[in-house]
Amino acid sequence: MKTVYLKRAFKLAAVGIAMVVLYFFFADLLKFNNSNSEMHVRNFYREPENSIDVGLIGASEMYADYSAPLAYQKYGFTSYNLCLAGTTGGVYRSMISEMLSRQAPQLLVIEVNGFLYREDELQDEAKLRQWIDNMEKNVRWADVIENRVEPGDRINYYFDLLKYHSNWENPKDLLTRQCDIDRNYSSEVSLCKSMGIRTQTNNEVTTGENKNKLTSLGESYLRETIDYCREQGLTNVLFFRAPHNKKLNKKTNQQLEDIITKSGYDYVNFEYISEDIGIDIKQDYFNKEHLNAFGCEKFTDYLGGYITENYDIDTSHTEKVDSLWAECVDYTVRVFDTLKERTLKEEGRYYREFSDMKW
Amino acid sequence: MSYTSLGYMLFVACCLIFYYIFPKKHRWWVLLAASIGFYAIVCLKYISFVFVTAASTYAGGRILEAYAQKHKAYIKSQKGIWSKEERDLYKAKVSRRKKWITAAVLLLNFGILGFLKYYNFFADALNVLLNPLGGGLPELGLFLPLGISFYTFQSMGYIIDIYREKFPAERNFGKMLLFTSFFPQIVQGPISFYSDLSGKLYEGHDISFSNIKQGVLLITWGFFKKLVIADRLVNTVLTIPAEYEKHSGTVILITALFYAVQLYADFSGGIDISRGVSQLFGIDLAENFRRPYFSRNISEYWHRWHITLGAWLREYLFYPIAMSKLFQKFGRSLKKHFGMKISKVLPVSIASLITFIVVGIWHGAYWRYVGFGLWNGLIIMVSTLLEDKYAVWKKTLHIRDTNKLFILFQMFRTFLIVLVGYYFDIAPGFTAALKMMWLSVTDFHISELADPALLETLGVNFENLIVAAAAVAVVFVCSVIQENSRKTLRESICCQSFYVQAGVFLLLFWVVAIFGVYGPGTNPAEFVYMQF
Repeated sequence: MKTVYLKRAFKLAAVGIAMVVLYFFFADLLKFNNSNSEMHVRNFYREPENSIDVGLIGASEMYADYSAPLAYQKYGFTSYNLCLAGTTGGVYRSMISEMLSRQAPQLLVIEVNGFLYREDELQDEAKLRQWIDNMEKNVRWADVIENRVEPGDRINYYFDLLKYHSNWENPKDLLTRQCDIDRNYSSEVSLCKSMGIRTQTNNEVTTGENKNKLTSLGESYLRETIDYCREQGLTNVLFFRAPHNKKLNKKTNQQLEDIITKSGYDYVNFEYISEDIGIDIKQDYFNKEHLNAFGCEKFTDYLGGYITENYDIDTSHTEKVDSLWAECVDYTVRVFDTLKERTLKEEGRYYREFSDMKW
Repeated sequence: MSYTSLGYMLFVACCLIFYYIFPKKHRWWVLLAASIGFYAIVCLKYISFVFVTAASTYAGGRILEAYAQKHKAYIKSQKGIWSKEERDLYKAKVSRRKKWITAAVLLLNFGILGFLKYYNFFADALNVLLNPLGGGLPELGLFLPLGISFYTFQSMGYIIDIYREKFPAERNFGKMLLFTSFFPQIVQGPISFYSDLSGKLYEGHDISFSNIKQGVLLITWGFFKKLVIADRLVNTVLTIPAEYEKHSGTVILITALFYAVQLYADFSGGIDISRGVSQLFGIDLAENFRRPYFSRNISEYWHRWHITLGAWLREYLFYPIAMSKLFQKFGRSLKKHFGMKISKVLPVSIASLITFIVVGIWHGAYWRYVGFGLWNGLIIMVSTLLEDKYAVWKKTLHIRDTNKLFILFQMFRTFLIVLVGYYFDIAPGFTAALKMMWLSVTDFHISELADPALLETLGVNFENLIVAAAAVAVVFVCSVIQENSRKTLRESICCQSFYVQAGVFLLLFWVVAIFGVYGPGTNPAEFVYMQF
């Protein structure tokens, strides 16, 4: 009798294990939101622990406008763009907490665009999921779900297959993602530390004032981010606005500056000094919100210089870290040379760090 | 908490643990608590309706039984004192009073159901007459308590059986409440007879590995039908008929075909989930579907589709009407004028027609459902009346009943008749149903089937259509195997090796998990029969 029960228990356990294994297999196979953002998160976890001097948090402006390897080449500090397309300020706290769990950055740089979306955009499921579904499944993951997702929807985040199961309808997208993963993992660490640039100049130059407002929800996210940085005892935090065609309206800019500076942190709007940086509105953008390879080089140079001048960053690293970064620099320089060449030809293709450059 | 929700599955898992932990004798208490809990979670506002039905049925049953026993004893005590006439007179008086008690309980419960379900329908109909006279009945915002049709029919079957003295009345109110509200079946049946279900409900069952395996398999199969097939087609079925004037006959006909598939997958899938969950507790619920689209005539169809409602109506409506004194008198008068055959067939056909009109009205308070009942009733009536003629034609044409082509023809013919009935289901009204039928015949263009715009009109993309078609093919193949086998398919699977069983389960589970229509961004469809 005992043997029968044992056998049954064994069989049930075998089916249970098969279910779990298949769950993880299908959940991973069918997950598709934005493979560029996904790789930025995956690659963050591949960086050697405590090897990053400057952590950058933000949306797509960051991985279009700033290149960590180019900054390293000139200024010697290591940095990482933990940045996702259209990510909102609502998850910045979670992103910072994840950054601090693996790295001890001497400076945290936060782009403020994530606080300036409309309220519906701030709560947009797709934007939330780019971060939540790609981060490591740990206590902080459960915490961000509890804090940012409506109770009735949480189950769909805990078991993301509930959301992604219908992606079988898009086999082309799934295949593209698998190819992206394959190419992304061909090196030991991320070589460009997050990148997304189109090889063209902006053909829709728009000037004037950006009417974005800091909504009450956006403000609460900003204050929450500031409070969290203070709770964590961070002294060096730089909030900034990256260059855009249209400059942020003075009122919103002032609001941001007041809140941030009153909390003891720094705020700079680089849009207002984009001419000083040398950014040409016609030549250095690939669209109204993102810089192309030429603009990226200029802004990286300026931001790198600004960081070096204003913050006392210790740039000594282990030999292993320096050797990995040297490899990144070699690759990124080659990438930028190619991107610039193709931008001059107005090729108009979008390149991620795992794109096949075909050089 | 829908039967297809994760919450429901967790609820069932918790109930199972408690059920098998409790001492065997008291396990029905767990089912009762779970049933009341389930109703409270889903429909707390109307839980009092279930209690009223259970209490009135319980009290009615006890009173009927006590009354019958008391007077039986009295009649017995008068043996030798009363003449046969005196005894018969007294018996008739007792029987009349029993009828009044039964009628009171039936009136109360069917009255509640009728008022909530049909008040607005009758008010509308009456207002056509009353409005020109300056009067009229107000329209009330009435809501139907969850499962009211199902638990009312089930309980009223019990009270009629007590009246007929088929079994002793239930002495425990808790048990009566459980019979009325058993959670796996309350939403959409099956409608069980007390004599079939009570013993299974109240007896504590031992945990059985075989029951668990078969139950899980049946639940997964139900999910397959509901989530992979029914919910994939439901959007078309809901949107096209609502604006049928904008569509061609081809689109309308395809929508009706989709409905035939969607309704079967939805209802039978839901019943599979109900039966599967019950089986986990060791309780076998009555079968409600036996591959209805394989029926060779409409009578057979109604013996294979919604079997338990059919059985209930036969037992408590059709036979009482057909065997009533009025119908027997009618039969005798027919015999004098039209002969033996007509005197036998016509009263039965009329009883059948009345039953089907009730079936139609049971579905809802709309003229189109009356049309649905009339259509089915008339077809059965006509085919019963012409039965002899068919036999002659078949003999003349040398067609044998065992001829496979003829069987296929019969199945196809029956399906078409059923399909016509479905137009009354999906149409927004009675005349709309007739117009849709007309368009399906006069505005059908075969060339449209090759038009890529057709899928867009139907609101289904190519990938989803392929998945639905493949799933229907799987159900069809399984149905063919089942039709030719004595054992159920899941019994056959459970006899196989562990690897086959586990493989079938895992395959089915993951097909549902991946190809099922559920999750955020989808609009989960309720079970169609939940509204009835």
